[in-house]
Amino acid sequence: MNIKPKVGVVSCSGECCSLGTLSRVATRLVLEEYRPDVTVTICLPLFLAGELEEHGFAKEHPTIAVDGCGKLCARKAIARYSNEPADSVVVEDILEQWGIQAPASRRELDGDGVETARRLAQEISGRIDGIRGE
Amino acid sequence: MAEEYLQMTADKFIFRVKKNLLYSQDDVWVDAAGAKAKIGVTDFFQRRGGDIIFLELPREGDSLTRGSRFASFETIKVVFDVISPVSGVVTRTNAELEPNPETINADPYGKGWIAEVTITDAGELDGLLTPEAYLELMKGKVAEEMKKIKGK
Amino acid sequence: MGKPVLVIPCSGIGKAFGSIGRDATFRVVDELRKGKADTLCLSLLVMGDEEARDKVAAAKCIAVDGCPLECAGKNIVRSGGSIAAHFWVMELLKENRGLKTSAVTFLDENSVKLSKLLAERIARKVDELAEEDQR
Repeated sequence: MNIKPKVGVVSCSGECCSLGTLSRVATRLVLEEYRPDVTVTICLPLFLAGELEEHGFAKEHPTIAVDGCGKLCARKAIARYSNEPADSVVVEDILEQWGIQAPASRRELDGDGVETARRLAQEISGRIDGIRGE
Repeated sequence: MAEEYLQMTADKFIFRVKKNLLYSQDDVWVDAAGAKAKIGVTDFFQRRGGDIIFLELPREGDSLTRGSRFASFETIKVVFDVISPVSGVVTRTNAELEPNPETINADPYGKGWIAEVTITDAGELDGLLTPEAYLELMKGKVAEEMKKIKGK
Repeated sequence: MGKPVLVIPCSGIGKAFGSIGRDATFRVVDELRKGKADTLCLSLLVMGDEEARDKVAAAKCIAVDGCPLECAGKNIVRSGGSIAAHFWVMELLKENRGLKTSAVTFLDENSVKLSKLLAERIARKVDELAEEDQR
């Protein structure tokens, strides 16, 4: 029987800038809409506070880190406290590839920002499919 | 501490069933000693509901009937009825819970106890589940809940 | 003007509380008390970023936690900071039963109202702490 694992999706908390907000919203969209049955949230603050369930899951399952910027908090945290993530997405780099500017507001995404978040969610979903061998 | 509990894992969630207690089909535990019992909700119950923000508790002197609602919890999304596992009279309720209902979420088998009861029909305890039997019941319930939850 | 007060939310991604706390924090640092309050990435702090640690060590910190798990509070203290004030979104909801919400990804009407209420309280605390510094 070929059992495909669920994937833990870890977003940076990203208070510093709108890239973090994009990271967070895109991650939520993956969990809620795009890949709800095959993903699990790993809450990064909870993970960093040492919560057993977050750690336990990340040790036993593949994870994908979604970071807003090059500081790579999510990726480094998962690697340090459990295992190297199976994949990593850096929103700043992807926006540069797409020729899109970061949203102006970090508190609330406008229409374009939400559209960008959805596009990122699709990108992350494709990576998740890759991790699961689909 | 792990030896005190049976447990199962679903995704990242660990559900605990404390040993040496009895359980109802409605996810309520009973710690009985003779005609006295302490009752509370299981780890599965508190987790399914989420963070409890408001609650309604029985009062001292209230009569409980097995199978009937005796308390209710309100979370950010929904109100849950808590069904009495035994018939009896409430002798004490947990005063800690009114100001701090989240105690139930943090420690459902310990500090989150709900009420102490004098049982009127000890025979009702025979109808309750062992920890092992409750674990099996809970596995089915968890599977159902996981199907319902999207994106969490 | 003295050093900004640091307002640090848990930004918990799994619950509505985390989204509300985060939104309220931004209302304070970007609008209500711009220049007087600042924020930083909790994860950056916990991962040992020197600049973040120096900021926390030098400033008065307000922790904004969504729920009793207190990820912001715990992580600030573990990273060498001390908490001058602490807010819990769940406590605010207890006082405002009519504003129940489960919106996590995008705030709804109730969560916006809660965020604004919380932001006002945090802003007042920022004023108090800033005034203490000036005495």
